[in-house]
Order: sequence, then C-alpha cells, then structure tokens
Amino acid sequence: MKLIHLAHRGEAQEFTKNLDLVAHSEINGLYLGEKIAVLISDEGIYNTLSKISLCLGKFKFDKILNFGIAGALDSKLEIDEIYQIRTSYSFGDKPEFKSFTSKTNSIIDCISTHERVLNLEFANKLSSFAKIVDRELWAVGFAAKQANIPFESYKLISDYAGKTDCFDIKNKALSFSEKLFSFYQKLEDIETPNYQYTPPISMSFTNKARYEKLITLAVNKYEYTEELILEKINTHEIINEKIREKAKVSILLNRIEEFINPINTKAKFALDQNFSIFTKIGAKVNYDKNLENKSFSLVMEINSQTNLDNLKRSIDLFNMSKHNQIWNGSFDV
Amino acid sequence: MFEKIFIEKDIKDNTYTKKVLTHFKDTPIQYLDKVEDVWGRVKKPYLQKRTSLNLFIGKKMGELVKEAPDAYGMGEQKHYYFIHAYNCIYECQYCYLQGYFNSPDIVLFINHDEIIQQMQKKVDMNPDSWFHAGEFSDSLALSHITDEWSEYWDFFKKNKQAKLELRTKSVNIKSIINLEPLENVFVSFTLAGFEEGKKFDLKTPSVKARLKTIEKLVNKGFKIGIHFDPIIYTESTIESYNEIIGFIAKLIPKEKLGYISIGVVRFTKDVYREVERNYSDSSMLHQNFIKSFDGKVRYSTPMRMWILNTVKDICIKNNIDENVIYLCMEND
Repeated sequence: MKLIHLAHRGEAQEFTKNLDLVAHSEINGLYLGEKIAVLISDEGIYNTLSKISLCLGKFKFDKILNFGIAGALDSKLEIDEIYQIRTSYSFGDKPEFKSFTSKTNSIIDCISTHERVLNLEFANKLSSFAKIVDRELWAVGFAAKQANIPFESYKLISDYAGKTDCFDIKNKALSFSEKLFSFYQKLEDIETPNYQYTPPISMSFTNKARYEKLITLAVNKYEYTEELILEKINTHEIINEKIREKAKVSILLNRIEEFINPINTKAKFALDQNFSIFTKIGAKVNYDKNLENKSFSLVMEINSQTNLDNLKRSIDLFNMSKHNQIWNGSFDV
Repeated sequence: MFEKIFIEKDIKDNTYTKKVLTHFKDTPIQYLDKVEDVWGRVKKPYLQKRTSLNLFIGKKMGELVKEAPDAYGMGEQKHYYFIHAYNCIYECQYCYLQGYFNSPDIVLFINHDEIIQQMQKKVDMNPDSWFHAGEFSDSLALSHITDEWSEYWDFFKKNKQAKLELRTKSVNIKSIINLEPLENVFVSFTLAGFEEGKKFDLKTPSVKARLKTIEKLVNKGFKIGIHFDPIIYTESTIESYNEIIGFIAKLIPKEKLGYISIGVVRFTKDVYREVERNYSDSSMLHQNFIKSFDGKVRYSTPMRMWILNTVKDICIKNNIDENVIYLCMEND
C-alpha cells in the first residue's frame, strides 16, 4: 500500500474527495483505501514526523508519496510548476547534517525549515543548499529511511520564498489541490523488472538461493547471460554424470564459484594439495576460507599408536615453506 | 561546469580568485564567511557531482602540509602531502573521495604562499623530503584554471634536494608544459589497462590519451612517475598489464622514470558502502572481496600477493629497473 502525504487539508481536498477512502477512526488526518492511504499531517517537521511514524507503525506501506506547495529559492523556477525533488535537507538554527535522497533523475533539491521563510536574508542562506523550501519533506525522508521504504516528492511552486508576505493559502487551496491531484493521476508507476534465474538441476530452496546469488554475481561480473555461463562451466557434462542429484548440485555450485573467482580457487587448491599430507591420514585441516588469516588448525581423532605415529610423521614432512609461498601469491594460475 | 561559485569574502580580491573567475563569467557567485559554513554542512550525495556541482574558493587553515601515511611513496625519506584542493571532477568508481567527504563539491584553496612556507619548514628539518600533490584532488585536472604550479616550481628550484610529485589522471598539462623541467619534480600518472580504464575510470581521459601526454612530457624533459594502483582483477588483467607495461617501457627512458608503484584495489568500510550505493552494477563489485585484518575490504591475501608479484614480474621482464618499483602493501 502507498501512503500519500500532504501537510494541509486544503492541498489534500481533491485527493480525499476523488479517491475511495474512509477516515480512520483513531488517527486524525488518515484516510484509508484498498491500495492507497492519504495522510494530512499539518504543517511542520514535528507534526509530519510524528504522524507518519504513527501510520508506519500501524500499517504496512511500501512507499511514501509527498505532495505539497513550496517556495522557490531560485528565480529560474516557475510559479505554478510542479517539480520532483531529489534530495531533502533541513535547516533549524543551523543546517541538519542528515539528508534523504529519493530515486529520481530530477536535479532539484528541497530544504525543510522549522520556521516560515519571511525575509530575503534567510532565503539567501537556504539557497546555498537547495532550490526549493518547504516545511515537511525532510521528516518524510527521515520516516521513510527509518522504515526502509522509498519516498518520492512533488512540489508545486506557490511563491518565491522571502519575497512575498505570508500569502493567503486558503483562497488558492482548491486550485493547488486540483493541480497536485491531476499530477498524481498522471504519475505512472514504473516497477523494476524482477529477474529470476532457474537452476538447470532441481535443488533445495537454500541451494536455489545460492545458485541465484552466484549466477547474479557471474552475470554482473562478466556481462554474460545465464545460458552462456552454464555453457562455459560445462553444465551438460554435470547433468549427464551418473551421480546423485545432490552431488550434481554441489559440483554445479562449486563450478560457478570457481568461474567467479578463479584465483582464489587456485590458491585453495594449492593449499589443499599441500595439506593432503594430513588429510590422507584422516586429520581435518581447518583454515580461513576467506584466505585472509594464514594460520590453520589440525583436528585428528587418535585411538591408536599408529594414528599418533602417522601424525608425527606428517607434521615432520609438512612443507611449511610451500604454505608460506602460496600465501605470498606463488601458485600456478 | 559549476552550478554556483561560493567565495570567502576575505579573499574575493585575491589574484588566484580573480584568475579562477575569469573562466566562469556566467556562473552565479555567492559570498560567505568560511567555506565550511556551507561545504560539508549537509550530506550531499556523491553522484550529484554529475548534475549539480558547485565550486568553493577559500583559504585553508591549520596544517597545510601533512605527513603521509606508511606505504606512500618510495625510499626512506620523509613523505608529505599538501592540501591545495578538495574533490575531483573525475569519477573513478573505486575513488575513496566518495566516502571521505560529505560533499562532492570542489574546493580550491588559494593560499599557496602559506603552503610553501610550511613546506620550507619541513625542508629545513629534512632537506630531501617528498611533497605529494593530489591526495584529495587531481593535481592537474583544473590546473589551467588555478594556475598555481609556477609558484611551487620556484620553491623546488631553490630546494633541489626536496621532491615534488604531481599525481594525476589528467592530460591537462597546459599550466606546466612551458615550465622548466626539474630533476626533483615528477609528474605521476595513474594508469590501468586500456579496457579497465574505460570500465572503471569514468569521466577521465582515456589511458591512451594519458600515454600521449606522458610522451609529450618526456619529450620536454620532465621526469615521470607511474602508479599501477589500484589494480582491479578482471579476466584480462594480466594481458592488459603486459600491454600497458610494454608501452611504458618503450615510452619512458630509464633516466626519466622516477618510480612505479603497484597496488591492489582496497576500500575502507565506508567507501565500500558508498561504492555499492553509487555503482551497484559495476563489475568491480562482483568479486570475492573480504573484510581484511585492518577492517578494509580487499582481495584475499594470496590473491593480492599474486597480483602484486605478477605485475612486478611483468615490469622486470620489460627491463624496468627493480629498484624503481615499489609495492603498496599497507603492512600486509
């Protein structure tokens, strides 16, 4: 469900009139529909933050859309035009460090103030940071960030900040609301395509997730298609092997991993070969699979003198200098 | 180029300020007390440099010449970097500036006389010190606008034991090409393979163009440094470095090649997060990076050692003197 946020009842009137909504019994200013809700928060950062947070706590929203009137801080912006906002800043007694950016190609930023902008000096100060000033957007961005959902904002320019006295919003409210609502109706929802990769062998849910992760990595790294990657790692050979399905899955996933990171694979192979003196006698060698920490540990169950003798001999024969060489990058690639 | 220019009130009549402004006659100007009143006060997303880049001109206060971290430059001498600008017009995907400052806006500092005074103090203590330009910005990219290098040249002419390094990926050598080449001044270029340069060094001059610039400088008698850093591993890394090192070996006579540094890509945690945000579809990110011993994100130890040694071997095979090669290892 999407949450449409507006600060003033006047701005919101066309939204609440034309969308199929019911006023919520507990949260004043919230109107709920099937796929959409409208929230009228009242003016200011605190009102906005508290009301949106309340709504986000009670209902599951996947996006916040902010609409509203705002003042221009740049004379190149036109009155009555609607601009999509890129980054939202805030200014109380001083600029607030945090900023919130929405996904857009717009290059217009907005700064939300705690006080109305009543003089040019203040407007000039704000113009160092953004081209538009409002009273709420930063709170919308903040709440969206906390809830880990995206936000978009569309601002209708009502005046040049600091150049006009407090103008009469009530008389113009209907016209502002009509423009904003008509703009909202034209907005097209562009959904990001969701790519899905299908493993060539049936596998468990966990392995499927791993397969998707690995294929995504390989596709992005080499800019190959899934089909080409599967061809390059000889998938048909794995499929035709007369082994259990589980083993096929394991080989497939390992091959993709090797394909993504051939050097680490070679380094691990060289280490494993050097450790084979221990693994052959039944000892287990544990080492950092990330290949960052050079140390390793040996685990072996001892239940006879032979085990102990084998281990002693293997320790004597282990090639530590070869081990160091591998860590120093000397292995065949 | 710039959306707006912010200038500190106290330096609006400074010669360097005026020189910069002659290049931007139509750009709106706003005066402020200190650059820091606006620059970095709010978190401005890095990629907004593509569409809304501002220029700040100010005076740098405090320490202007700082001791460089370990693994910075070769030799036993003292290494310092000096701060004459913040941020860069280029957009290398691995650049640490994207996680370093809170704004991508460019800052130019104009108090070069004070930087030079601080350099003199360092040289008085350690005459053979190195001074590196380009730690927080490309040292030449905007030099046709700032035109400061002749002032530094005078200093290095007088202090022959001290050394200057101008680090760059730029081909903009207008401001230095007519200066007298000095034995103690090195113009150093960061290079990668031709394809890697195209892929990861966005908005920079191509590697081919950088090589041509090196050729021009060599012909004029300048000394050159080369940074193969950061190396980003791709399927064709070794072929690429074979190719580029071959070019370098032919292009730069032994006596003109000051040094070659070799380093592998690495990020601090913050920079890596920014890179993921800014270039989420970059093939550079789809590799097995690990969190390393010092919290940095990099390749595994054997992998980075293999890359460093392999590229070093290629240099040696191309008859580059081993003594001018140093590896950026950061206490590995």
